[in-house]
Amino acid sequence: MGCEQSTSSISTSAAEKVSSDRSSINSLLFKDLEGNTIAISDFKGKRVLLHFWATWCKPCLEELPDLEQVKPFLEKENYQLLLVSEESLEEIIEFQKKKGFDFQFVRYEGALSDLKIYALPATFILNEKGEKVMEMSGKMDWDSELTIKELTELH
Amino acid sequence: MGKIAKVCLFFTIVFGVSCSTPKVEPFQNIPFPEDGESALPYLFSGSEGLMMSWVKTLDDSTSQLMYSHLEGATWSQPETVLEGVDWFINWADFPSITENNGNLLTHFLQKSSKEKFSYDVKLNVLPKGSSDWALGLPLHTDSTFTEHGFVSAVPYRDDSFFVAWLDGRNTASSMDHGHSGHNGAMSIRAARVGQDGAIYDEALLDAKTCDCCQTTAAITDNGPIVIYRDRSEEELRDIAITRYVNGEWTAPQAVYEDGWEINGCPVNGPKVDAQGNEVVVAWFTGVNNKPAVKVAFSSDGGESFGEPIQVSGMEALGRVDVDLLDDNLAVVSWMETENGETYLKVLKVGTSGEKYAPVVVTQMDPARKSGFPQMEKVGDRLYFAWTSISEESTSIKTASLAISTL
Repeated sequence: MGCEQSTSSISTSAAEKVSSDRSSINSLLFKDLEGNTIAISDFKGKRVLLHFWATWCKPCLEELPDLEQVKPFLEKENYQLLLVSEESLEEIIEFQKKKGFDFQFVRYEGALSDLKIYALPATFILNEKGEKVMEMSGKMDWDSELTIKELTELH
Repeated sequence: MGKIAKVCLFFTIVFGVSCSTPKVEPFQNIPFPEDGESALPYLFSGSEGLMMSWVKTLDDSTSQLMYSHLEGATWSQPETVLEGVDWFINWADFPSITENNGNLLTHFLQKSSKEKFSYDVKLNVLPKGSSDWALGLPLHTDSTFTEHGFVSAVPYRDDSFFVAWLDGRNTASSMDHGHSGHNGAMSIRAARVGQDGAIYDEALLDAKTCDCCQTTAAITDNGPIVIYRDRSEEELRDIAITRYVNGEWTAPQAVYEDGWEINGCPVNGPKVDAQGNEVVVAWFTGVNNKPAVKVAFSSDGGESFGEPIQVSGMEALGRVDVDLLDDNLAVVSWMETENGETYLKVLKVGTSGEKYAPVVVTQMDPARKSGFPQMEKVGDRLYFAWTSISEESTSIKTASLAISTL
């Protein structure tokens, strides 16, 4: 499986430089589709894959099937996946109802630029301590052996 | 409170600039001419002065395309082009207004099917001397239920318009749920539009472009030029130019090879301005996750560009605009975060790389809904328009600044 289109790769240099902003990441708040507040600290002890996307973003939509496919495997590896959009709850709910993806969708009410995200999709990986240990920009080959291996070994 | 202190407080509140020394800031606020929920301003300066279009929201489903002229230091009574309940309204892809010797052209995006991302570009024209708009005219010749938008329109010849747009006719089905992505890419096309809305010389400029960034166009002495965010097979999303020379479109080439490789959506297009064969392009790049706004000049109609000049600081958001001045200078505006606050800034930059001190136009909400601030030059002043966000509503703010103060 996997797209013919080239994809962005995991940046090890990014991984090296992003481990110091634990406090800012841990203070992030989201809204679930019922409007309840979700905090990163709610997932203490789990690894968190924060995947920033949007309904209008084609590369985002193209990779969701692959991400959905590897989700059970990642969950077995103690990952919590959060699909984060800054669009309205109505737009996210409409999308989920129409497409039926099995993800935990949340809304981020801040600006993505505050998180130094300049293009979508983007992914942050947080370790069990809530530290950001990697970030990825662009569409990924989620079901590639290399990606899965890196995500598995990341702590 | 003294008069000067009150003026400082006013500009601090309205424009987000502070007066550490007691002097009157050079910005002149221009009151927006109506109340209500308005957003997505577009400024255009032409032979009949400064014009602005915007979108007014009447209710959950109904929008109006409005416009106004600047008369002296105030906006004229707003006029309605048309209203609709089936428009595609988007923070980055929004209606425009263009004027050529008294002929007006506006555009909007109209949904073409029940699918969310299926919409067409529709044109409205008001020939000089006519009192009735011709509304909802087609621009592109395909009938696919795909995305069409990110329109650039500029005056062309005596009474026509040159229009470029992103065209998704080859992308059908690529957004279905399921494993896909093997369909065609977003393309960029262009055409000449007559004062009556007739379409001439539609052409494919590039069969593969970034899906989600604005296009920009200008007319040089050599002919039209179009600048846009390209998309290579390796997913490089640098800024490219194609030129209409001797009756043919040149092969796209990079304005500058930033090397921003990302299979994603930056939603941050370039801007161009031209006088004769003097050209300036401003753009955003996020290469190496180091955001930057750059400017490059050309003196041969865009055939070649000098080394880019970075005008932004460390936390640029982009959303650029640019205007050429005389004497090998240009002004560029962009959004940038500094110490946790986001601002619209403007500065003057020269062809030899000299940069003047940036000036804060206003504090901005960095969220998408604040849109793309507009800047236009009229005579010796710069005019700005932007969407202001509050918890209750969105509204449009406009202001002007004497270029001599930069």
